[in-house]
Amino acid sequence: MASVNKVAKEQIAFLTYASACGNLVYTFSWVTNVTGRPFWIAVLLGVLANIPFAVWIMYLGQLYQGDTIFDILEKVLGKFFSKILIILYIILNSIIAACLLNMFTGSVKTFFLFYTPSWIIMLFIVFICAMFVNSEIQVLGRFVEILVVVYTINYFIGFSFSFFKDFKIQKILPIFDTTFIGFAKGFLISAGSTAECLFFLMVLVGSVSEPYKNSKSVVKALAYWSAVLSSAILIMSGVMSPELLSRVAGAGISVSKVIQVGEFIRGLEILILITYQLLTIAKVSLYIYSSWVSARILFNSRKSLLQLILVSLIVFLLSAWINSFNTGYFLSVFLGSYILLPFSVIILLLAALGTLLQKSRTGSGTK
Amino acid sequence: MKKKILFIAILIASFLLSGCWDYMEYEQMAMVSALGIDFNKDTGKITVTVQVIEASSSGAQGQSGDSGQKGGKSKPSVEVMVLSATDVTLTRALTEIQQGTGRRLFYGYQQLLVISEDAAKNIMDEIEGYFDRTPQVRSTAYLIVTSQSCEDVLSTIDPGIKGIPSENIYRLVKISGDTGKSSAVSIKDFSQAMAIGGLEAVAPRIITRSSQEKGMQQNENDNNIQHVKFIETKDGHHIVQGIAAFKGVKLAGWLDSKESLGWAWITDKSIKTYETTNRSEETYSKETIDFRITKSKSSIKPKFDGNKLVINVDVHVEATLVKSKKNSDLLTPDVLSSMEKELSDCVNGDIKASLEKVQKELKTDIFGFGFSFYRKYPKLWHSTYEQKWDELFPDIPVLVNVDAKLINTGTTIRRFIFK
Repeated sequence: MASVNKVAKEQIAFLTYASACGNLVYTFSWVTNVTGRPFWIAVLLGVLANIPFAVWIMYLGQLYQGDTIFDILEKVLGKFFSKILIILYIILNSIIAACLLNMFTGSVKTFFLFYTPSWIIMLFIVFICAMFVNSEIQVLGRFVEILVVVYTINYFIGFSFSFFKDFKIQKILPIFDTTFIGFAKGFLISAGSTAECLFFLMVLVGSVSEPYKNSKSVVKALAYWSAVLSSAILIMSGVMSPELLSRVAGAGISVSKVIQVGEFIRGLEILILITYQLLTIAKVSLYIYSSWVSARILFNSRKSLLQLILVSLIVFLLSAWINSFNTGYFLSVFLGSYILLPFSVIILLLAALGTLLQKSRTGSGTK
Repeated sequence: MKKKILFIAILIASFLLSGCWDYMEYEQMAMVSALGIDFNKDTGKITVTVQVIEASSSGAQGQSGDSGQKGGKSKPSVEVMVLSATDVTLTRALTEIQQGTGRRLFYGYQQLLVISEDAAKNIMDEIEGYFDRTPQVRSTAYLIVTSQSCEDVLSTIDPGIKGIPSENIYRLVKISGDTGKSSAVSIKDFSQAMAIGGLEAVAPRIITRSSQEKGMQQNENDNNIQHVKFIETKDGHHIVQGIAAFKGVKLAGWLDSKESLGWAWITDKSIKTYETTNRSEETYSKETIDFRITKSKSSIKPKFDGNKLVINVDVHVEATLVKSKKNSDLLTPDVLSSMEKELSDCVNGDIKASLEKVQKELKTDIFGFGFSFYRKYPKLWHSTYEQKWDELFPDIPVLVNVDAKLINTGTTIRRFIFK
């Protein structure tokens, strides 16, 4: 399904950045738990470890320009196998979207709206996201660009206040006090959780002209995200100490609660909540977009709007059914540890092998 | 166009309406400004005392006619209500208070968490667990320990202080660190000290002196709502002095002012004013020298002397002279040098007193020697020292090196000469 709408390279970077910024913003506390003090290095390397796979996607996209990875799978493996993989992809995509929504909703309910039903908050987020997704990819790209800039700046403005009093370097030293197994586990969870971005790139690649040439934008985005996330959690560690950080549920929101400068600068959790809300809106939009685009391959673009509504409904209903921060958190850690990255690699391997087979049959790698 | 309007309308409605379930009128809330927890080890029951802010409007509403106030302007004032309830758990006691007030307890303004000695000795894990998991209570609130009852502390109100009484205690705690005789510790600081290996928690001590001999008077007639007691407030004042030292989740003992100062020097707390303390009572006022500490820096350096672990505590103090009645009129380098030595000796004395009490009597590492050791030798800490640190800590030799420097003598270079 060749896409006619192409995104600019800046949009590729922002979309990749936003797609990487997912469940790990909550589950890094699990990485802290298994890795100990160098957890931020494990996260840094874990995010960077996705770069080769992202470039691989762009390379495959270059061979079949205008096609998503699932279009490629359909061409090289046939409709039956590709449909199975697309269904699995949509299921996984919806589950990780539900996990993120549950973690965000759980944080809101814990800190701010104790009595508001979770489903109301979820419905509001999914509704907004579906509205934004129901436009061209360029519009979604611009929307995500704005959100990414606002939430990243907002995040660091909030945490910059910690340097006045709360941040203590002693809390993060010694940096390398861990075991090999602990570090490896943390690295794998981080790498696996960031594989969410590969899920999105598999679809985005169809809207990128000359994907392989534009892979620099993808690499840059992942490098920036690794630096931003690891530095942010390093600051949190300096504020809270890794011992306490490994226990927090609401991640940055919990940490920002303890920051106080004088009598007037306090209650920064409101500021940080804005970041988490914008992040959730951007990310859930991308989950819905990915599922929608792949569903269109499944159903040959018939009744596209209905498909969007159905995909959004699946995300909402699944989230409302889970309705638990803890379930969302542990499901997210489980998927990040064992499913997301292996599933992405299998899809890429199948697409690559299929391409090679087709090439050997026809003598050409492109369509 | 219609679609756009619909889109914007839904967007705005989604933003505004999603929090309606949490809507609450101001009058429906009981603003907790301080919360105290007592424990009766004989009955095993917990008594929770809360100081609730009662915002009211006093003064003329144009009724008296001669108040000079026009337009119905009122003079806002703040009063407090003190309530307590006893039950087997913290949650149940709080629920009873809530039922007694008929309003929802709101902790957004809470600045103090007062723990009684018995509670600190017996149920600190329960208290810590509760506040750690309850986001409504700000972890920047100060935690203080009292050897009296929390009811006493929270129902005693200094008549000379305007505003919310707990805010006065909050300020006392905050400023107590300036003299080093106590130190402000937030719930977050306390939790961190409890979580970090090789470091034990401390909390400031509050002493309440009531101007009424009989102490607390309770209005028994008002005590008929379940277990909730409405406690009559009384005049008095508070002193924040000394610190409570914990070992794990139990209160190990108290440090007096001098020992607290020693703890503050070792742990690099910011001390602002200081008076030399190595004086007998008779010569105290004549020979005491007051300093303003402009800069202090201390470091804890664990080292091995052969196979023996030694802790080096280096303290660097810079001060300016505030008051001295020493013999010499002229503040020459020799005189200053002797004052520096005096300052150095006194700081050393504070530290030694603190070490003696903490290492030999309380046997709890509130200085964080273990944490410093861990940072320097992490592998050795995990392999050998972490498990037996409690046994080793009392006997670890501590070498104290104080470097004091008097950087100026204020606006004069001579003592004031009275005619």
